[in-house]
Amino acid sequence: MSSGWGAVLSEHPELRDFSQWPQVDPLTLPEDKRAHFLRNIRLVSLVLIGNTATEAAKQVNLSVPSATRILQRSLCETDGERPLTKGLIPNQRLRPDHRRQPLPTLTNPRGSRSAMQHLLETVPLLQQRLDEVIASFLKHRATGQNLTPKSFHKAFLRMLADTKHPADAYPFTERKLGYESVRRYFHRRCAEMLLERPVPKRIIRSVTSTEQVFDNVEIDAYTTDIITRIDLDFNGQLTPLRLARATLLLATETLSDCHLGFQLCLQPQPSQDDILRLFSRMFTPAPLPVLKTPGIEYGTNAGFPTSLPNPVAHIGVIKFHLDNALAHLAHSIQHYLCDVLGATYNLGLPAHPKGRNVIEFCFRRLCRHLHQFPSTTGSHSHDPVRESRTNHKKPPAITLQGLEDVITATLATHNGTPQFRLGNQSPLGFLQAKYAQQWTRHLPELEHHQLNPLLRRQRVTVRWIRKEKRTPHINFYKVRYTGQALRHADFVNKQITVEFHVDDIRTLKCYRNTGEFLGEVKAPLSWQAHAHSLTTRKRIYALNTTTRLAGVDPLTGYFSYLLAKKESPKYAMEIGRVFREFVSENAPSTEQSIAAHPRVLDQSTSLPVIPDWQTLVQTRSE
Amino acid sequence: MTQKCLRVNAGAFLGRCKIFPSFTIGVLEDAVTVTAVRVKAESLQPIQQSTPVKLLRGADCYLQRGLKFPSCGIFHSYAELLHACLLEADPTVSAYVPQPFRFRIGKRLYTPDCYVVRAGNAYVFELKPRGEFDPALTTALTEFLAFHAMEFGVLANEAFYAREIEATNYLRILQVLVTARDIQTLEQERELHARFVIAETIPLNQITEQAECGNLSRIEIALFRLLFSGKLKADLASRPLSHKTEFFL
Repeated sequence: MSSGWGAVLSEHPELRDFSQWPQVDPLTLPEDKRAHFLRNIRLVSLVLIGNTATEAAKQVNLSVPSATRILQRSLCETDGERPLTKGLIPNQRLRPDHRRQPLPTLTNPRGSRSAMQHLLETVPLLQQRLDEVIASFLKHRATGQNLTPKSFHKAFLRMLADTKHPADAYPFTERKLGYESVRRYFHRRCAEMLLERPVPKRIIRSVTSTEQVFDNVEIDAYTTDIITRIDLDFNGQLTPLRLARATLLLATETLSDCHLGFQLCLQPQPSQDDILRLFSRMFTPAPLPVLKTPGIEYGTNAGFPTSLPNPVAHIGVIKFHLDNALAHLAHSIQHYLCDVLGATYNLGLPAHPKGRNVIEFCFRRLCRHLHQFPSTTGSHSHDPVRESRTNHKKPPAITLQGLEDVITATLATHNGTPQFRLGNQSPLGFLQAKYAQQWTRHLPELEHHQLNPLLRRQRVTVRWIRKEKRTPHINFYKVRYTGQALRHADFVNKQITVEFHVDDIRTLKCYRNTGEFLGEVKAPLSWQAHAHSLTTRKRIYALNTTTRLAGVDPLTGYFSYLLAKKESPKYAMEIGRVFREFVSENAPSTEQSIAAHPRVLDQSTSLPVIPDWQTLVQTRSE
Repeated sequence: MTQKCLRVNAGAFLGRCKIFPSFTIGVLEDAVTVTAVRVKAESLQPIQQSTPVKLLRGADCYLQRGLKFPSCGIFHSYAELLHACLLEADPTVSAYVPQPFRFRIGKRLYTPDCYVVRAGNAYVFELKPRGEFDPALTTALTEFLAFHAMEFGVLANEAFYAREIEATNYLRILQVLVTARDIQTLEQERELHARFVIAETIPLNQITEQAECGNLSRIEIALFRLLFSGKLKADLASRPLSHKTEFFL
């Protein structure tokens, strides 16, 4: 039984100070309640300073019972809490509403106020089951369903039916069957459950911002949105091929926002070798590539750190940030970054692109240029940048070389463009200025095979099968390599070290275990026709298990096989990749060797001959 | 009130199987019941446990080669990396191993974060945000490792974030020394040390300016080796390592 307001004031004299009461801004109240609220405040203030309830009621023009009721409501405890100022607000509900009457039925209609709450309290397990359904939805459980207010309402009705709730009682007395109450309950519980557990803040990256360049380098892959073509030129015949989307690997220094290098991968997913090629481009001094596509030019002061007049060699980056793609877990990458460069290698969190926000922003900046061409964002079929159906049937206008030139020009020009946040310096200029001021780690003098990520060493065993009456050989990726270097009895059945370039494995350099150079060994003549990489060799052997490749040598046979499927963009991309390998710098005159094999060329798909222009236009009457 | 005494099953297990003894703690009282926690270890030789690919891809892992841990250490958080950098620069620490053991505690597997040998004593650390770790596990591990002459401790990540500048400086120096692990600099170290005996403090740029062209990197390596061995000191706690950083005895 609650004590009277007078007793409360006697027991708690601190309540007599109205300034200590919780403040309610009258402007937040509706205008019709504001006048009564201010009157109630005046009433309470008069009582608190010592006036009796009768005197105070008279002053505010209220009856004594009404004044007493207001004071009782404000000062006496309700459900263990003293309302105080809240109790002075007219019509303010102080206790949660609780239904006292039975639920309405069809024969005994009543109001349905708080009926939903009554159902949740009285029907056994109803609230638990509803909450369980919502929890399954919010936690994305395998057994959860995608809930909407409508589907939740249906579930509610099903549960009521399961508990044998009378079919003539609420909610079946309502037109909408209690839909609005269920909808509000659904949204309220969703909000409560989502906010139930506070998400602990977790520090992932550095708490202090770095002030030094080459502290952090971010690397990421991006599937370009542009569809390109390549033109295969054999014996003067041009064959255009539509390619699948290429993948761009990009490395950016985070403080200066300077692009260190990029690599365009002609594969659906970049492999570890592609990433090592990117590292090679990042650290190998080379002049700015010459742009071959007319109309594309470099901006002022465009360039990369490796193309500067005095490129800085052997810089030691502190941390490399990549994502957790499977290719990044390769031992070759871990070995190069951690053991050779001595850097820290960070894989980051999954599905956390903001962890590498600098590089993600670079892609966004690049897309502004790339989306000028017919392309696709892969979002949906009504994508505005998507190429039209008519154009989709023809080879695209932009070539792969054109795409490379666009990307090179865009990235190099960005490196030379002043930025406000860098003190109106370009990223390259900022990088150079900071490098001159700060202490930067440098790599010590390393042997060439250590510094070049594309050069690998491997231990192999020298074999000699005497009864075959052949020279000693080594087996390297399913091919026998022979050479003068192995013709020594000391090496038979012993291990030596071979060094090879991943992009051209026709020749291996042999070393003793002590490091002494022995000489070179070569693959058989059938594998010497064209420069090829480890990836190509593995793919040829994988294909050989299911398909017999026809050709004078395995490489030409593989190329013929790809040409037979060139209509598929995926195989066209592979043709482009293999062709670039074949015509690399190290290769002999590849065009001649390819032209010698007529199967390589497919005459039927050459471009149609354009007839001579005719000035006479044929009309329908003719 | 019933009470069961502390029970150690060491003798019974050692004779039969090669696993190390389990350790059971159980005290039963009428008013309070403490759940028994059993700790088992397949081996107490500290070797970096392999990180599953799922964890490598799922956690924010850092890979860094060390000197006192002469292999590529896998650190499951940024705090662990900072901790490792501070251990590398601490002259009293002779070795450390990240993810050293794999314990079976009840039904779950548990891998502590670091094993450290400092001044001849062995420590096993777990790094947690705010140093919060299950008290029952802490007690069980403390007892189990104490039996094997090791101390168990829980460290707060925040303690290392507070020393991030210092740890990052040590990381830079560590990376120099990692790439120079095959380069001998004994002579340069002796010469440098002799210079510091004469001069009180010498800034980095003065040391490197006086080095010959081809010898610059060796002088730098020698300087950092003296720093890591505790023969030289430098204030690296407040500012990044720069040409103006002063070194002293």
